[in-house]
Amino acid sequence: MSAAAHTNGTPLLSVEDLTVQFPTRTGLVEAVRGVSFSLGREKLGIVGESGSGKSVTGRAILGLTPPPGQVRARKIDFDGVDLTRADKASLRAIRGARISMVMQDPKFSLNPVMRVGDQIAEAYRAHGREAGTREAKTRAMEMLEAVRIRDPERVYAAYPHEVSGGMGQRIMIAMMLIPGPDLLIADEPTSALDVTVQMQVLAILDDMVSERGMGLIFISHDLNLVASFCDRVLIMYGGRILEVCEAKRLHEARHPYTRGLLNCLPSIDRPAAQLPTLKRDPAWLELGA
Amino acid sequence: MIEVESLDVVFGRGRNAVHAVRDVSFHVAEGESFGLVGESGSGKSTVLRALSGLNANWTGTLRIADQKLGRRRGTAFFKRVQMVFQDPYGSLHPRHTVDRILAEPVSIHRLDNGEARILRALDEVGLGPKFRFRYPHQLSGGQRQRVAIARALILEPKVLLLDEPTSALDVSIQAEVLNLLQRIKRERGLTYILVSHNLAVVAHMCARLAVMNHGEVVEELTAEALRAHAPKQAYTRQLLTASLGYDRAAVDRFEDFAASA
Amino acid sequence: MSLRAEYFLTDQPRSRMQARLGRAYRAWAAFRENKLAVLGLVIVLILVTMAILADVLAPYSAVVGGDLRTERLLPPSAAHWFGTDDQARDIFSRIVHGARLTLLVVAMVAVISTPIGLLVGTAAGYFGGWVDQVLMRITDIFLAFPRLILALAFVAALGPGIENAILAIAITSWPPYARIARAETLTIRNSDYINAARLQGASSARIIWGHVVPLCASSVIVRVTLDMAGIILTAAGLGFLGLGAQPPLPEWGAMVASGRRYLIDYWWIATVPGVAIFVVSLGFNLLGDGLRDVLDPKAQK
Repeated sequence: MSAAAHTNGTPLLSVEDLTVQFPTRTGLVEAVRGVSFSLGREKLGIVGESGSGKSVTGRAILGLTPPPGQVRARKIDFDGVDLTRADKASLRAIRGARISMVMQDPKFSLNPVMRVGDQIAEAYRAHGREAGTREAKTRAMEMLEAVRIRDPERVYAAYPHEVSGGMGQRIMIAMMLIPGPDLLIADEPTSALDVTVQMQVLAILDDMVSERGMGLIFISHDLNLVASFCDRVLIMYGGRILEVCEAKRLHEARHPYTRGLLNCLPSIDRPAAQLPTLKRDPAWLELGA
Repeated sequence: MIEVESLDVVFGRGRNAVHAVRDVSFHVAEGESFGLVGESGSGKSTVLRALSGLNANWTGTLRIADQKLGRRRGTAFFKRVQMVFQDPYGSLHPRHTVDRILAEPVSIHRLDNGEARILRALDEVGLGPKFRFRYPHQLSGGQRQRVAIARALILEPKVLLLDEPTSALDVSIQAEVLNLLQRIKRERGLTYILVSHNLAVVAHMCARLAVMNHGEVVEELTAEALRAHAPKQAYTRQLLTASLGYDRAAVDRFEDFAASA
Repeated sequence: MSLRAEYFLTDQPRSRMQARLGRAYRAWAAFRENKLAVLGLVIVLILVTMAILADVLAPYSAVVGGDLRTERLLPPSAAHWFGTDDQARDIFSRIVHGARLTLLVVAMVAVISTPIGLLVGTAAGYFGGWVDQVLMRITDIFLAFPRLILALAFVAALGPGIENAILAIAITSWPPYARIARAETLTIRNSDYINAARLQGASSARIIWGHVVPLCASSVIVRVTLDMAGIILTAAGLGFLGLGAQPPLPEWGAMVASGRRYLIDYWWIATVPGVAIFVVSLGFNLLGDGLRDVLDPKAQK
């Protein structure tokens, strides 16, 4: 199955031959090599272990690669705009307003000295909406209700350290979705949360994405979670995409890495005396494997 | 082998008191693998810390091999009970080589044949002698965790307390480390208490488990009962459902299980 | 890779010594890239060389002057590179021998104050409770006095002389090191590796000495190096006030003091030792900055 989206015609995002390199003292390290995929208004999961390049890919799309990283791509087409060739002003207009990102730990992505509600209101005003303070506040409250926070008044006035992890992530989602983006990139958004809270946050994400017809890139190391939550899954290893498949048909995956990864997970339903381990084939790192 | 009766742990005083563990009791037979499952704040790690002696303000009765444990622990205890910590990046001293890390317990307890013990420990966890003089930052996460396990084993304990030993590891490395832990348990006849938030890992490693929430044991059940999807308590059922994967309809039925008064 | 680099950079060291040398080599390679830090090191090494080889390098005596009628107050020339002072002594020779005194002061202060600071700080941070309170209040008391004033008071009580100056400066130098050591200890006190050591039955002394101190050491060393400049200046200040090294010892501060009277017409007498103090202080500062960049674990990735 190709990595191209199977939506009605033009994909929302199309990445062609993305490469990200980091110069280090011992040479050039390629975190991402030749990654190509496209995305429609669907939920796409990118799964990989640490070092697979999945987070770097997500950030490269948004132009958030930290220096001295170098990003090269034949094209990163977002709704007609080539992000690799756009000027800084257009990138700023797109980033946040049309493509948003939710990261792993709200402790580190929320401003600790600003009230939570004010941060959401600021996000609203920052992305081209000429709005007064009162209107921004009303919209922020609406968003807090949309992410199912029960007493939005109290949470609006709270500081980030006063809310729990799950609530912090909901606030992040509210903040990132208030400008009404078309694409949301979520980098391990629920990895730091307890499993029941994880499910609740994912349900909110699910609803918001379907209600607004957004595209979602869900980056995670949790293969089972991605398979049950997303529509399609990309498996990354060593900076490359090894396999693409429909989430429902993940158990029919053919690449030995994917099969290996699926097999070595302990499962409640399938007891095993010993977990099969993954034998890494160096050929997987070769281009064209 | 291990008996916990009416364990209570309170942090802080007066209005700020947090009742981290409330009236927890369970038994672990010799040679058994017992799981303690719960979400964050459930108190499962606190139970382990009380057992290990790292936390001294607990009340209740703790017994290991029929001997009551007091506030402080002695040499005999350390030779019988050891612990493997969660974060492989935090449980090894960044300025010590693997050799130094393994030599320390040998030196503290003045054991003989230090050299042979160190080499044997490295061998047992699947690391060869070539890792002996590396520093932790020269090791991968899985390798660090193996060193932590080797360190725990070098005193030849009978009980291992495992505090989320694979939570910080990649899935493929997790499988290797879990297999290693099972092999060591078999070969040495050890008793494990495994603390984890991951129900699948606990179901794989343990025959019996206790589910904790807000400091209390909600239910004790066997892994078989878990696999048969037959837990008795609603909280356990909810935890099990959430652990099986994303199910939109199921999420709507989730409840908030607050602490009982 | 050359054979030597391979020995140091291998990731499979075969002995403790090889592992330690490897780590030192990597630190040196990182340090070497900072040009200013290397400059600082060079200055310090020149100071040390001058101190060791003072007898060889100095063309004249540092304490005995020449002919008081013809050789007083001579400007810098080929015969006397830095000129002579009012006692007809060759200033260059005095500078060279003064290097020995400066190095002595700096080394002795470091050797005395660093262990005190480390001990107090780690004990306070590790044990907490009343031990922490008592030790920190003592530290606060010493910190409350400006260093030069307290040094003055000590020297006034103990009598002038370079040994007493060293003691006085050392006594006032340790509090910041204790603070730094305590702060570092607090951050690592509850780390899992410390817990693991406790669980093996390690005594507090063993944990502090073997686990805590190695981690505090680099911050304290950096602070000590950066302090050296201040120590030199304090010693110079004491010398300037006549309370440090006593004449005819060629202590740089005292030289500046005695040259003060002649500053307008015979500028070299006070200026040259002043420049020497400046250069050495700068050298230690650059070295300290460079060490911090290398030893700071956050920068060590």
